[in-house]
Amino acid sequence: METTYKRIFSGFGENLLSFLTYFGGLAVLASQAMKSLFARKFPLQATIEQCHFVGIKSLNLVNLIAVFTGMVLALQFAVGLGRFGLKLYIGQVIGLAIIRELGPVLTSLMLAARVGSGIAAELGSMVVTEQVMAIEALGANPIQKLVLPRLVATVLAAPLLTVIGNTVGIIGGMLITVMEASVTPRFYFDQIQKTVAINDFLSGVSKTIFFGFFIALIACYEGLKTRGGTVGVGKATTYAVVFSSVMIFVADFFLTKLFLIL
Amino acid sequence: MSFIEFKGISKSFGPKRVTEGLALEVNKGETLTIIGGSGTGKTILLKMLLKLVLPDRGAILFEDKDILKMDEEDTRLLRRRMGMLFQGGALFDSLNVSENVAYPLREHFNLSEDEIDRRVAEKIALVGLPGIQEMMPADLSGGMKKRVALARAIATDPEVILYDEPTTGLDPTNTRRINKLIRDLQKKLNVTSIVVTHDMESAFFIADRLALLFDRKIEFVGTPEEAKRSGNARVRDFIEGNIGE
Repeated sequence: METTYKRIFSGFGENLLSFLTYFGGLAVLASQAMKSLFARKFPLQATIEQCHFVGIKSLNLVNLIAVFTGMVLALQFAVGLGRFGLKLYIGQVIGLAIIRELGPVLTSLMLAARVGSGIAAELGSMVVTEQVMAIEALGANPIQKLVLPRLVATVLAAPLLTVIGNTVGIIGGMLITVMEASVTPRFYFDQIQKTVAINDFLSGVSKTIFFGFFIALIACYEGLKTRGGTVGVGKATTYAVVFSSVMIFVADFFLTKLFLIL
Repeated sequence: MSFIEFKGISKSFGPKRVTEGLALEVNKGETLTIIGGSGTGKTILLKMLLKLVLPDRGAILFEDKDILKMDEEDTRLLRRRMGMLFQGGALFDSLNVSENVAYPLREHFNLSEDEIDRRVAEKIALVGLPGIQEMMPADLSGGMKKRVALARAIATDPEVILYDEPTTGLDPTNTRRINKLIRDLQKKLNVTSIVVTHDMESAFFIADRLALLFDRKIEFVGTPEEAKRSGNARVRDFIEGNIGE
């Protein structure tokens, strides 16, 4: 009996310790990145290149996901609200759902999958081929050269992509609503305008600044702590996507609660 | 007074003790070759000298100053005075040859683009690869990668060049070419070189002095001639290839 308790507590202790170590590592990396923000020679060129990789190159994927999300929401609500004879109000529900929740979260998940995996794989490969060490040996700061541009680019790109994704999602919803509920596009947009307040828009978009930060931070952290050659790179990539996706959902709850209080 | 001195260096990775109370002196202008089996901690010594890896105990003196006590800015200046050739080259995949060689120049100096181009061309010519500035690392052969990495290591005209297994993985022609290049650079640039290798032929060809790392300590230090005449059983075993891998 005593051994069972001991095993349970030691397992709990080990998990707690590795959890705290992981978050401690993230916090240290974040503070180093913030410190390097004010160091000499801000890596502007690298940041612009990362903005292109994170922002422009993610645009098609985000738009594709957004348009189908809007369309499927319209289909579902046509069925659901149709049962109560409320098909006309699909626009109101879609507007709120996309702007407050689905747009920010789905855009961020797409970024976690595309950008998070890319960052972790690239940095992981650089670690195992000693390129990160070479940056240091050549007198540069790897945090400033590698982490800072990715962090800044993802934090900037996430809200901008979300705004575009929201717009495309609402248009996708309109296409189906017009067909299913026989309303005019003007009526659909009027409904959204009446329901969605500026606070809804701001709370949704603001959340993505945090999501973008977590995606880049976790991906950089996983990439930089890669060990064990190509197998390690594979693991780093997987962990980066899984952990940042989980982080998005957990942070989403707390941030939503926070913005509701504010 | 030694130019570089390792004093009582101990380093462990988890339960594995790599060095224990290791001591080694390097004189200015010499080529010291550190030999020893794989995994004995030779590369770690080079990385410690650049503060890429920190020892658990001991001091590393560079011109009598303990580099382990240097602040961030002094460490940056120290790294400007040293160039390192990594085992796999460690060229940046995303940059072409020219940008790779220019990297330390941009980091350490405020030079015009023309001056950077001139210095890059000079260093690339010095390693015998003129006209390849626009090529990407992925398009280079193993020997070319090492030579470009060497051009990058000497871009800032360092006083010390650290070579980590410079001939590993190369064919005999490229091995001879790299060895000759190390010797030529020594003569032309009058630098202090520390070469880590387990290739005895290369070690004898390039070294002014040899140091054998064995069992976490420096077992022997002497000229190649002294090594050949040495009665030390471990030195003999290593030279004859009985220990190593």
